[in-house]
Amino acid sequence: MIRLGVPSKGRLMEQTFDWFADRGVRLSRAGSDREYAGRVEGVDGVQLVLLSAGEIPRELAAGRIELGVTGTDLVREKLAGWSSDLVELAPMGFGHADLILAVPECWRDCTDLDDFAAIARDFRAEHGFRLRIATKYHRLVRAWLSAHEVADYQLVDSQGATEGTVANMTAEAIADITSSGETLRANNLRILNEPPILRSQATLFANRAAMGPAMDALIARLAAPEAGRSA
Amino acid sequence: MGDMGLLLDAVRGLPLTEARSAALIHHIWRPGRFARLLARFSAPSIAREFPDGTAPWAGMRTEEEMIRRIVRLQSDAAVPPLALVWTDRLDRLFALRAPAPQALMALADLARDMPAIAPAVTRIRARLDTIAARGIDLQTVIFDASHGRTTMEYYDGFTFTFQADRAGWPPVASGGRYDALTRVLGRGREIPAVGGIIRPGLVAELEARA
Repeated sequence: MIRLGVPSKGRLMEQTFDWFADRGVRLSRAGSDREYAGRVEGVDGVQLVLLSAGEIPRELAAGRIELGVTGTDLVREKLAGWSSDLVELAPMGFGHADLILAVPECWRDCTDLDDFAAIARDFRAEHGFRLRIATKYHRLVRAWLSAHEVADYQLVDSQGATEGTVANMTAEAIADITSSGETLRANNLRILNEPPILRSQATLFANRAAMGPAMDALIARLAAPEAGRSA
Repeated sequence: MGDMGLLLDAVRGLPLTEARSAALIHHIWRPGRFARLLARFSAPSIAREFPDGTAPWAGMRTEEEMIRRIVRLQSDAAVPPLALVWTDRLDRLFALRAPAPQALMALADLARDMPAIAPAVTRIRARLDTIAARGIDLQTVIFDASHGRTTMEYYDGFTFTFQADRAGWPPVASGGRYDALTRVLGRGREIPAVGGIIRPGLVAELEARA
């Protein structure tokens, strides 16, 4: 039995159901909207498990599910050395979001990461502590800044409403996921003129240890949309 | 082995403005950022435009801090570029990697063009003499000028690594001087500091083979 983990609510769940339906596999919730059991039609040997998107990476790595749909951002953030435990099977074409670094719009002297590094150095000398970046993506942001040799900063944890931290004086910059940038603009923040830290989208992952003939057959089945099926 | 003091003295000895010199010194442990800064200082500067802002001020960095930086950048745009002969000397120094006796000759050569490194070169010579007096063949000691640049940021003097002749092994031991660290932590008081790490597992394997 292959257990398939799917986000349990919202657009992400609906789009995942559509993606599988296009490939002849009908996923649905059993019973009412409040029930987290699921039904699978059109393929044998697959069980649907509805989970919070944020828990799917951990459940995959632990082997409690064999297949899962979640964002590449969550997998890379939550699992150190993710590729030793997981296989990336297919980008699914929705749930697009970029992880970006944003600074206050009023910083007219800050357009790119070189400016940011210089400002961080000045800030530390002036204030006696390192410039604070609010984020929940600690691993990804640290690795990216380290690769770009930016040193004079510290990360402060922010699990939500991250865009508000600058106005609240609890951070000088933020690193967060954005799709349109609208929330950033509304909070007078501007994205640095650099490629994003990560371009994320909903992706089908498998547990590496679960790979085998049954999984190969299912992957082959999911490889391409079936013409006319989704109409 | 290497010596971060040698590189720091070389950078301090460049004919640069104080702001440019401080920026290079700050990034000496970050080779990519250092190289980009040096390239910028070696080319004619382009005056930069700063757009007028309408956004309300936000956050703990003050507008005055920003204006100070803008003034600094604008006055920097009038600074003539660093002569290529200096970047060339610096590149030669940073790229120096050779058995200690040959490295010492190259350093003495460089010190004629870069008098700022002369005291550091004298120090390195004294250190190597001490090592040789212990019966160690200096041909087996590799002097690598950039040795300390990509390791821990706080090493600011002599740095060392002990490498076993086994492919794929990390250093058996490494360390160095970090006097500036105690200066920063001590806020006015300081003591010379030296430290390092030894990987006991690797030492045990080497002893088992011996």
